[in-house]
Amino acid sequence: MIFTAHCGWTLARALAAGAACVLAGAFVRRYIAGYRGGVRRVAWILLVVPYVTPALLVGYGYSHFSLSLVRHPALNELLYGCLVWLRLVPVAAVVLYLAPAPLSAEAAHCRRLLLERDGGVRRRLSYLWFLARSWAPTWITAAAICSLLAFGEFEIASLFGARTWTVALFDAHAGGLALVESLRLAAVPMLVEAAFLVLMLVALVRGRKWAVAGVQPPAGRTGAGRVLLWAYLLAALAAVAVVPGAVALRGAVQGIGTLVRDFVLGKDIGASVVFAAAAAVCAHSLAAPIAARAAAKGSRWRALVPAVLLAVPGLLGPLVLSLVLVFVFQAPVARAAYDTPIPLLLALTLVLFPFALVLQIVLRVFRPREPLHAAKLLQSSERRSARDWARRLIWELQAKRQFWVLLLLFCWGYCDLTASSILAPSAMTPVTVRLYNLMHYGQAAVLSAMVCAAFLVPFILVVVAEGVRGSFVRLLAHG
Amino acid sequence: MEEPRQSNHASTARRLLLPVAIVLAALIAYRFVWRGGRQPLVVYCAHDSVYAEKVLRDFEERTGIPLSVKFDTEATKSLGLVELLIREKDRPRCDVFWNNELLGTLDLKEDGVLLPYEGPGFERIPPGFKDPDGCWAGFGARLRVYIVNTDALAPTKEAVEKALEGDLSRVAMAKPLYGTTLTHYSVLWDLWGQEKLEAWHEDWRARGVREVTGNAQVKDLVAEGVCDLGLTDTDDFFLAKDAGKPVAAVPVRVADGSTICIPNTACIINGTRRAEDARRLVDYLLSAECELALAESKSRQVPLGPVEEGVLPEDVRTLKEWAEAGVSLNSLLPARTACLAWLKRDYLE
Repeated sequence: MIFTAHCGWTLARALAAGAACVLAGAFVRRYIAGYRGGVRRVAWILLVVPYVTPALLVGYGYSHFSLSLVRHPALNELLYGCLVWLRLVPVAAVVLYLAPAPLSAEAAHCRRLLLERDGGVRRRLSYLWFLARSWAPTWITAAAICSLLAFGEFEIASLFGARTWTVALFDAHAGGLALVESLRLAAVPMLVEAAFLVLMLVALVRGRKWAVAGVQPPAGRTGAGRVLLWAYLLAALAAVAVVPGAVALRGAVQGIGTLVRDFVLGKDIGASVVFAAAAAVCAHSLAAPIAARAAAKGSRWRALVPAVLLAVPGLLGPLVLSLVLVFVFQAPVARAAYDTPIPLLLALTLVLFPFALVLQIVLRVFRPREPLHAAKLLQSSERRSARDWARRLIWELQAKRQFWVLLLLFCWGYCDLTASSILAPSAMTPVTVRLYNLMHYGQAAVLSAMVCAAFLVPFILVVVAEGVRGSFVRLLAHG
Repeated sequence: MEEPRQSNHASTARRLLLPVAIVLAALIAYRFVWRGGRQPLVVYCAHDSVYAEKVLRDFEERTGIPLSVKFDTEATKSLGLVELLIREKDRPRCDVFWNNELLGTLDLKEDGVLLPYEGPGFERIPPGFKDPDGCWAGFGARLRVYIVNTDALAPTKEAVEKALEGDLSRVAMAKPLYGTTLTHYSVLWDLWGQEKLEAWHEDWRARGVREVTGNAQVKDLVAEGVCDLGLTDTDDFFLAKDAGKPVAAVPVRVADGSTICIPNTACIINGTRRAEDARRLVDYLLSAECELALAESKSRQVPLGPVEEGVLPEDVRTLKEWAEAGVSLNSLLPARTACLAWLKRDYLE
């Protein structure tokens, strides 16, 4: 009963978060679309940062404050809900931005003209119903994705002591609940997640049927709206990224000396890098051909089957997936691989796959076809300098984007906690597991230094990789 | 038309081969690079990593035996590893278990998970803190205490008892499912019986006691003044005291005035393939040197075997007096099993 109550509470929160994310996401998308060039790029970056900020860092940054709310559980719940909401608004905005418009501004205008003959209230209601029905598939898709992600959230909830099924199940399993019993408990949340997935697929199919090719949804340009947009972007950035980052950095200044004298994280960071890099490459390698086949002109529904089959385990969330994999790898037939890197590598690949697939589809949608074709033609030029420039162009137009997708997948894999906690082999524990264990002792200077060191690594690797890539491209260009 | 299609298939196949190659490379790297030439001794450690890590690294440096350590989470302290060891019984990964309490170790012995070993370390531990069959031995103990915020409450037995009479919304404790709070509940189960303990537990909940994930959080709540009083262990209390927080400790005493003194325990896992290395680690953990190092660490753990009294920190000497009045935990396994079954029903189902 208690676990079911946890599920119900998490579901209620996830539904509320999904709805709130779509409302905010629609507003943000509309007003960002009103900008062009550099300003639009800055707005998108500010929007996305809260989502890519590691959840563990967010939870750590607020853990002390959350603990101080122990006598006010409603406030703690509100704080947790707000953080989840702020982290997921970018997802809703991106989905709404990428989804094809179901309705052009002209069509909406025509409908309004047609309704002119009706009375005031009735006309407004009819018009609103018309808009809602047209936009519903896109909005439902975005809400279902956000609700699904909110429903599976674990890291922040665990450090906040929030009431969620993920924390209850993780603690119960880690606390010794038999695996079969853990899986039995996981059946209810799995059903809920499956329901979200079905809803998402149905909405996608309906939205695709109604989509109007080449039509951009209307953009917002009013002064008040723009002020609200920037206020939201800066507040979300401050709440999700700046405050936790500042808390960690402030402690790190005091603790960095101790950490440097006694650096205990090397092996754990190494394990995280190896797992994240391998899983990112695996997920990317699987997603690229599958996305190409699924998105090809005239592709049949059968082309979507591998995409759906591989995406569903990851979309169920790392907790359920990891429990299932433990079950599989503890069975006699696969037991030889139990204490090896394979279970975790497989889990991370499956967790990253849906993201890799979406990113591949986005890249295909926005692929600059004509310039790329021209660059490929230039590659067969007789002049060596022209061929070098063609190679550089192809890199800029195609490979560079794939490179950034790979880096993004790497960062997500690096930040995983749940699958790593359950599946890591005994001699190769990723750094997030150690940090998570230490975070339960509260905030401390050395721990803050560890958190900063651990989360700086992917950042440094990205900078180094970008530097190496730049040198490589320059080398290519200049022979 | 046929040629491009074949070329596409070849390209797809090449791409899909990459993950397979990565898995193989990961396995090879894990076997020959990560785990190194010498197989590490696998240690499951339920003691706080901040204290245990230094001891284990000292052992590595002295002996050259590489260790691979798996720590428990604070939230599921000790119980997680005990249950994992039982799950892995038929195919153990672990060689040595450093538990931070006793009752889980008794459970492991009952399940046949432990291998007897009576080495020089075992010999120096008093009979009350070791297994007559040699399956485990205790070392470096800590005590259950009330941590009191001295700005809000006098650190006396009377003041604590008065604070526990009415509203408990300013009193904190960890969930009793795990770690030393479970040991505390098992002691009460043994003394009071199921009915009285359940009634007491319900009464505390009804009066608003704040249940948090672990003892460290109890310490934080009291140290920051969010709560006036909490149930925790001495090692957590000393962290707050060393940080200059206004806290004091009052030992938890059960009906007959006994304290609750909980030793760490060291044991070897049945089925270990590195028995010699495992014995060396257990002897090291049970040595006077290791007990002194734990006493001098921030956790101030009480040595159980003979050590030179003069070198013990003053705090530890006080704790040693309290520890001498400790209730015997050696026969509490049935109480722990029954209590845990009730708590799992109450919290998890």
